[in-house]
This record gives sequence, C-alpha cells and structure tokens, in this order.
Amino acid sequence: MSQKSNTFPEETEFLKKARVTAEEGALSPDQWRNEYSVLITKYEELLKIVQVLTTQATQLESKLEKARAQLELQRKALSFEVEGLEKQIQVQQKEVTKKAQERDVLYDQMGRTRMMLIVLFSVLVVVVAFTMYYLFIDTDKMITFVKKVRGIQ
Amino acid sequence: MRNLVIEPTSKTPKVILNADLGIFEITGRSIPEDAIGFYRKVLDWLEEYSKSPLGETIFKFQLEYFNTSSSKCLLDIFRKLERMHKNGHKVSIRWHYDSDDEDMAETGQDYQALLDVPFELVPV
Repeated sequence: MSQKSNTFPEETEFLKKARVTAEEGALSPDQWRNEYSVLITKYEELLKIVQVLTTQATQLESKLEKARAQLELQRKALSFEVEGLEKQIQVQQKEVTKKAQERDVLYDQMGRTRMMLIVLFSVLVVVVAFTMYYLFIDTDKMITFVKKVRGIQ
Repeated sequence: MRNLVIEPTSKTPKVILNADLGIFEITGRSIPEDAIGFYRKVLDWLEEYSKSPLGETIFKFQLEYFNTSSSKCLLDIFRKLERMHKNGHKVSIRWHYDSDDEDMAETGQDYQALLDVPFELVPV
C-alpha cells in the first residue's frame, strides 16, 4: 500500500509489529496475554473508528444521492426549457422564411413593373420623337399624312 | 514554536495553529484526494506542540463538508489531543456546525462518543 493512499498509517504500523511478534513467538504466557490485550484494545478502537467512518460515508452517500436527484430535476427542467426554445426558434425560422418568400415575390413584381415602365417610356419617347420630327422638321409629310387620314386631297 | 497557517483552497480547509495563544482552527471544506498528505503537516505540528503545550489548548473545528479520508485524519488529530488531555494538559475541542445541518451535528456526536476529551458541540 502506498503512503499516499494509506489512510491508516498508525494502524498499519501496529499490525506490522504485531505480525513480527507473532512470528517470533518467543514470549512468556504473561507477555502473550499482554500483547493480546493490546491487540484487543487496538481492534476495539479500530472497530469504533470504522463504525464512525461507515456512518459518515453513508451520510455522504445520502447527501450525494440528494444532490444527484436535484441535479436530475434541474436537468429535466432545463431540457424542457430548451425544447420550448427550440420550438420557438423553429416557428420564428418559418416566419422568417415566409417573409423572405413574400419579399422575393414583391421584388419580382417590382422588377416587372419597372420593366413595363421602361418599355412604355421608350415607346412614348419614340412616338414623341416621331411627332416632333414631323411637326417641326418634315412638316409637309405631316400635313399630307393628316389630310390622308381626314380624306382631304 | 512557529505558528502554522494554511490558506484554504476549493478542496482543503483553512488551518490556523497559533502556538502563542493555544487556539487552533480548521474551517471550511475538506475533500482533498490525499487527505493524509494534507493533514500530515497538522499532525506533525501538533506532535511537536504536544511536547510543551500552553496551559490551555482550544481546538475549533468548523467544517461544512469533508470526505471519509479527512474524517479519519480528524480522528487522528482528536486522538493526539486526547493523549495531551490524558497527560494532564487542559485541552478542549469545539465542534461548530450549521444548526440546519443534522448530519454534521450527528458526526460531532459520534466523535464525542468516541473520545475521552472535553468535546463541545456548538451550533451556529
């Protein structure tokens, strides 16, 4: 047993000495009785210590179990909360996607409208340009054209 | 003799052994992996102190939590104090505990029953 893990160094030392005494065996009956009496005292003491430590260890286990149960409850509560938040995020994501789609549709419509406006403006420009040309530059043709339209020779 | 002061950590208690006043304290939480290693300094210091102690020695313990190895080390400290008491020196142990902590009170009672030294239970 390493020194670090030995929680009973004095007891271990006593045991070693007792073992040596038993192995040597060169003691008188009185000395044996004395050694045995010391052994009983030490054993009794050790038993009391073990009883105290066992009681405390049981108390610690009980405390740990309570703490574990409390942690489990908190874990479940957190899990429930996380689940709720995840659902909220999903709903919001759907909302965002829907808004994005609506925006895209709107952009499409705006694009088409813009294109139509450009075409109309271009047509208008052409018509105005022709009109101006015939009104101010080639007036004879214009008069001929109007007469033709009205059926005047 | 020099005083022994060990600052607390998250796993070890605060230790103040004042040889000038004969007032010793161990407070906090004691859950070191190597409890024997930690308490050896205290036990060695006490061994030295017990050779010529002051007229009165008071040892105050106020622990909120400790592991089984620490408990055995505390018993070793108590045994040293008990020896001093049996050698005719005035020694007393004060076991302070949170009045809501029944387990700690019970632990104090267990120690009290095990020892032949004045052992006072002090609820706080």
